[in-house]
Amino acid sequence: MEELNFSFQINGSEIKAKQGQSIFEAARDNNVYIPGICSSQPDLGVGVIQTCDTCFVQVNGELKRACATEAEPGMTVNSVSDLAKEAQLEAMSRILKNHELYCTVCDNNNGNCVVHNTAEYLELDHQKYEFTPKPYPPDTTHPFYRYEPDQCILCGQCVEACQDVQVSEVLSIDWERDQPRVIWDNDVPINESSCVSCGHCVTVCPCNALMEKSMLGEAGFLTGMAKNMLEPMIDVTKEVEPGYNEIFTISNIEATMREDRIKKSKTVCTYCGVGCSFEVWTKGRDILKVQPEKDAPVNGISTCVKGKFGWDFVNSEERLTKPLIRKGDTFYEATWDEALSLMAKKFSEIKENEGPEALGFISSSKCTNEENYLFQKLARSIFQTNNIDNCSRYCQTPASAGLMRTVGIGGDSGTIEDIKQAELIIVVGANPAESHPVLATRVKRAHKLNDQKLLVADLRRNELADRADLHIHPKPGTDLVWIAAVTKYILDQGWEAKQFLAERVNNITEFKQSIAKFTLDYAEKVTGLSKEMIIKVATMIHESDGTCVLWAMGVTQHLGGTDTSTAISNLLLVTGNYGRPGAGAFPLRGHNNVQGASDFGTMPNWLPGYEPVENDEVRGRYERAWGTSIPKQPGLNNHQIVEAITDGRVKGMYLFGEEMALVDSNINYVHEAFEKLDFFVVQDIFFSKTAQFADVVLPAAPSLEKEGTFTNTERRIQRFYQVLEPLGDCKPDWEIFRDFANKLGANWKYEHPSEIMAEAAKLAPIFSGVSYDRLEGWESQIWPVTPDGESTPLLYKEKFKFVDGKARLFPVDWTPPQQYSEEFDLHLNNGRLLEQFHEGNMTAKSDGINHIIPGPWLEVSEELAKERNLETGSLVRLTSPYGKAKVRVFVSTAVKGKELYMPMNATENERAVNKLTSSYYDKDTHTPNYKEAQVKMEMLEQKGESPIPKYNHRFGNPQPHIGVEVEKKWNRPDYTPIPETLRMEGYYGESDHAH
Amino acid sequence: MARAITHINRKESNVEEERANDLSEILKQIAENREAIESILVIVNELHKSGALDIVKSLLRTREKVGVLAMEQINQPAMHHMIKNVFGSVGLLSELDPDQLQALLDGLTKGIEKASQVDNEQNSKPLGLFSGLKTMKDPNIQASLKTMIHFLEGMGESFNSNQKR
Repeated sequence: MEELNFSFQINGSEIKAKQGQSIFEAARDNNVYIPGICSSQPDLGVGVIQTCDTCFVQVNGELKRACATEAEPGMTVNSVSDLAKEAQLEAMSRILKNHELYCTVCDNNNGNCVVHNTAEYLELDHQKYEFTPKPYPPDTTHPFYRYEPDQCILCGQCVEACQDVQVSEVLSIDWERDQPRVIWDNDVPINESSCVSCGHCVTVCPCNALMEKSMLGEAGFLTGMAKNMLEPMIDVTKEVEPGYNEIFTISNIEATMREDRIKKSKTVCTYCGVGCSFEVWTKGRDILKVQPEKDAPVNGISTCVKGKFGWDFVNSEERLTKPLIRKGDTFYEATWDEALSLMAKKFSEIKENEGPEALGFISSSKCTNEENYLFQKLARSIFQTNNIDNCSRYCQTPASAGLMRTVGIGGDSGTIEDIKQAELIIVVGANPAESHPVLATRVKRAHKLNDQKLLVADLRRNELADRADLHIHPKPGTDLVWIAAVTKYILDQGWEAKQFLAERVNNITEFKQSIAKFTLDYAEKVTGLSKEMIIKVATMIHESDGTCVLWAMGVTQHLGGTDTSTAISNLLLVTGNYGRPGAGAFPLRGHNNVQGASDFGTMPNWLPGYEPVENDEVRGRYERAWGTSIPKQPGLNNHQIVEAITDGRVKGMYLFGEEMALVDSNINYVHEAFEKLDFFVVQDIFFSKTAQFADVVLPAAPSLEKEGTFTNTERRIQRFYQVLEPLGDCKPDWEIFRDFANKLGANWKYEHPSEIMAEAAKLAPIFSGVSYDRLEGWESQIWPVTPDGESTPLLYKEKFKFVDGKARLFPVDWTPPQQYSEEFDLHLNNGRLLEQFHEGNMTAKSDGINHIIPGPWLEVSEELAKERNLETGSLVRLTSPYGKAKVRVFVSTAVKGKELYMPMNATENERAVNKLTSSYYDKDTHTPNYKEAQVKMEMLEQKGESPIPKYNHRFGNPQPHIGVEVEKKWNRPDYTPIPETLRMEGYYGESDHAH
Repeated sequence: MARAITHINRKESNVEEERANDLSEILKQIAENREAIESILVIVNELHKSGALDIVKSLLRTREKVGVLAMEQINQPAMHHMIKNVFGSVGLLSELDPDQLQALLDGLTKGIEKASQVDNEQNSKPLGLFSGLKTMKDPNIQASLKTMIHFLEGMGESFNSNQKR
C-alpha cells in the first residue's frame, strides 16, 4: 500500500502526517502532546474508544475529537486555544466526577498514571462537578486483581483490551444502568466470570480502578496506612481543596521518591515460546507487579495469567539454596567446592574407565542461549562426547526436521506480524489459546476484527476451534493423510502456485507421483473426514491470499511426526506460501528457549547454528577456537541416552533445568533407568522429581536472578536483565558450568553472559551480528543476523537454505499410529493448559494459580460419561500397557466419543499422564509418541468434587461485542456533547471569544 | 543403584552460620563507614540526653493511635480554615511584587517611627479642623493619602468583580 504524506498546521506549526492518520496520531508522532486518556495505549488503537473526550481540539475553528478526526492536508488545528482548553477541562471535570484525586496515598502514583498526568497538564484547579461515589463495593474476589468502581472513570480501555486484544470477551460497561460500571460477563463477581486472568485490563487501566493486588498498600510510602487513618486524610484533602496544583506537587515528589525503592527490570517470560517481554517491579524481593510496555516487540501490552501473575515461585520456601550430596538414602547439604570436586572426580573416573561415550548431558530449553552454548562446550570440549540433547526432542524436533528437509531452516518462517496479516490461519494439533496465549490473541483479534479466516484441525473443540470458520476433527494420528489429500486436490485442480514452483522449488515430478495414492476416497476412509470437507479445506487455502500454518505437538508427537511436519511444508510450497508476508510455516515452540537451546548446539549432531558436527571444516573451526579436539561422530539423543543407561552403556549423566522424571514419556521406564546410573547430577531451582534420583543436586538461579538471552518461536533473540539477587547460595547455570569446567582445569574466564554470546557469534555464522549492545532494552534480533546486525524476520524472500537456493518437495508416506490390543479402548490425548506451566514445578508454587486450577483432570465426552455412568467429579483409574494413573473426571463438550484429554500439570506420580504413555517414538527424530496413548478406564468413585473449581473461567459466560460501545454512552439522557455544554455556557457558538 | 529419595539433611548450624555471616557483613560496612557512624553516635547520644529520643520513640510506637487522634483533630472545620488560610496566605505572598511590597513596607516602618516619636503631650492635644486641613498640604501626607486611595480603589475593583461572578 502506498502511503501518502502531507502536512497540516497544528498550534501554528506545520507537521507531517500519513494518509488515514488521525490528528491525535499525527500530533503524537510529531511530539505534539494532545491529552487523550482513552488513546493512551497504542495497542488498543486511537479513536476506537472515544469515551474520555479529553482530546477535543479546534479544527478550522470547530471543536472536534482529535482521536476520531482524520488529518487532512492544509487543515488548521489548535489544541491549546482557550476554547480547546475549555473543552478539555470540561472533559476532565466530568472524568473527575468519577474519580477521587488522592494521588499521594494512591498505589498508582508511580509517575505513569495517565489520569494524574492529564489533569496536571490541563492545569485543572478545582472540581467543577462534585465527585460522587458509585453504589457498588470494590470487587476483590479475584486472586490477583481488584476492581474499585468508585475510582473507575469509565474510559473502557479495559473493555477494549478484553474484547478486542485478548479477545476473551468478558468485560463490558453497562451503560444502561443509572450509574454505569464495568461488569464481568453478565454482571457476576470477577472470580465467577469467564475471566482468564490475563491481566490486560489491569495493565491498560489509566488509574487505580483496576489494580494488581500485589501493588495495594505496597507501592506508596503512605498507601499502607490503615483505613481509619487514610479516610480522614482523604477527607481533609478534599475539604481544604488547596487547588490541585499543590496536590500534584506533593504527589510528584512522592512519585519521584518511589523510584528509589521500586526497581523496574526488563525480563523475558519463561512460560512458553512466544517470548513476551515486560518489566518486573520489585521492592526488595517482593514482586509488586509485572508491567508490559508498548515497546515490547512481540507482545506489546499483552500477557497471559502465568506471565502477569505467575512468579511467586522465586520466593518459595522450597527453592534449593545449597548443593546437596547423596550419602546412603539421605541428601546432605554441602559447599560448592565439595559438590563440584566430587563431580569432577566421578565424571573423570567414568570418562577414564568407560570412555567419553559413557556420559550423557541433558540440557534445558528453559535456560539461556549462553548456558546452552556453554553446556555443549562442556560436553564436547572437556568430556569429548556429543551425547548432548535438550527437551526439544520431546516436542519440536520433528517440526524442525520437516522444515530442514523442505526449506532448509528449522524455525518459524516469519514472525507474529505475518500471523496477524495472513488471510487464512490453519492450526493443526495445537491449542495456542492455552499453550501460546498471547500469540493466540493476535489470531483471535484478526479473526474478530479483520476478517481473517481460521481453520482448526484438532481432536478437541478448543477455544480456537470454537471460534474457527471451520473445525475439522480427523481420526487421531491421520493428519498427514488429509494434508496430503488437500495438496493433491490443489494440484489436480491446477490451483498450485505454478510460477513459484517453477522458479523456486525442486522435485515436483517425484513429489506428484508420491501423493498419487492420497485420493479423496483414501483420505475419507483413513481420516474419517468427508470428501466435501477436504475439498472445503483446499478451497479455503486456494481462495486466501496468504496462509500461515501453525502446528505443535498434536502433529509432532507421533510415530510419523516428522513426516506430517514435512507434509505441511510441502503443502505450503505447492501453494506458494513461503517467502512472502502473511504466510508460512509456524511450528509453535512450547518453552521459552526450545528454539534457542537447539540453535546454540545442545544437540547430538549439530554444533551451534545447525552446522553438522561431522563436517570437518565446521568442527575444525570450533576445535581451533576452543583449543581442544571434538569427536566427529554424532552422539546420542535424549531417548537414546535413556536406552543406553538401561543397557549399561551410559553410566554418568548431567542434567539441568529439565523435569525428565515427569515429562518424558513412559516415566516408569525412565525412573528405572535413572536408578541404574552410577553418577547423576541434577541442577534445578527446585528439588524436582528428577532430583530425587540424583547423587549431586545443584541449586540454580531462575531467569529473574540472572542475565542472558532467550530465542522465541520467531527466532527472535531477546535479552533479559537481573531482577533479584540469587537466593541463598544458588548460582546462574552458566556460572556453575564455568566453575565446574575450571575444576577440571579448563580455565574459562567468562564474567558475564555477553562474553559467551560474543564467542558464539564469532563462531556460528547465523549469529554473526548478534551482540548484547544491539539487544539493549527492548531491542531484539531475529536470526540469521548479518555481521552488521541486520535481522531476518521473514525467511526465504529470495532463497531457500539449500546450496542452489531452491526448496525441495519431500515425498513422505503415512505411518499409522501405534496399535493397542482391544482392551485399551479409549484414546488418551494430553497436553498443556492455560494456567499452569508444564508439570507445574514453578506455577504450582503460586497460591493464586492453584486457587484457579489445583490439579489435573480427565476430560470425558458427554456420550462416554453417559455410557459409563460418570459425572464431573467421578474418580477413575486409567490403565495403559505402561502404567496407571488416578484422576477425577470433567465432563466436557470439547472432546468427542471415546477420546479423552488429560493435562500434564501434575507434580506427583499417581496423577501424571506420562505414567500412561509409551516409549515408542517418531521414526526420524526419536520424539516420543505422547499423542498415541490408549487406555482403559475404571470408575473408583462415582461422586466427588469437580477437579476444576466453580470459579474457573471454564464455567464463565462470555459476552462478546466489539469494544466499549460508546454510542450507548452518547445515547444516555444525561449525556451532553461537550461542544453543546460550552455553547450553553456561552464559551462557544455566536461569539468566538472564550470568556 | 540410586533409588529416588526425598530426605534432605539440612545443616543444623545453618542458622548460626547465617547469623555470623550477617554480622560480619554488618561489621564490614561499619568499618568502611567509620567516620559517618561515629558522628551518628554523637548525634544519637545528644538526642538521648535531651530526651528527644524518648519522645520520638513513644510517638513511633503509638503512631497508629496518635495518627488517628491527630487526623481527628486535623479533620475539623477550624483546622480546615487554618490550612486553607495558610495556603491562601502563601498564595498571596507569592503573588505580590516584592519591590512594590518593599516600598510599602518601607513606608510603614518610617510611619511607625514617626508615630512613636510623638510624645504623649502632643498627642493629647486635639487636632483642630484647620490645623488638620493644613497638614494635608504637607507633601508627605499627600503621598500617603494618594497611596491609600489607590489601594481602596483596587480593593473595591476586586470586590465588585467577585460579586459579578
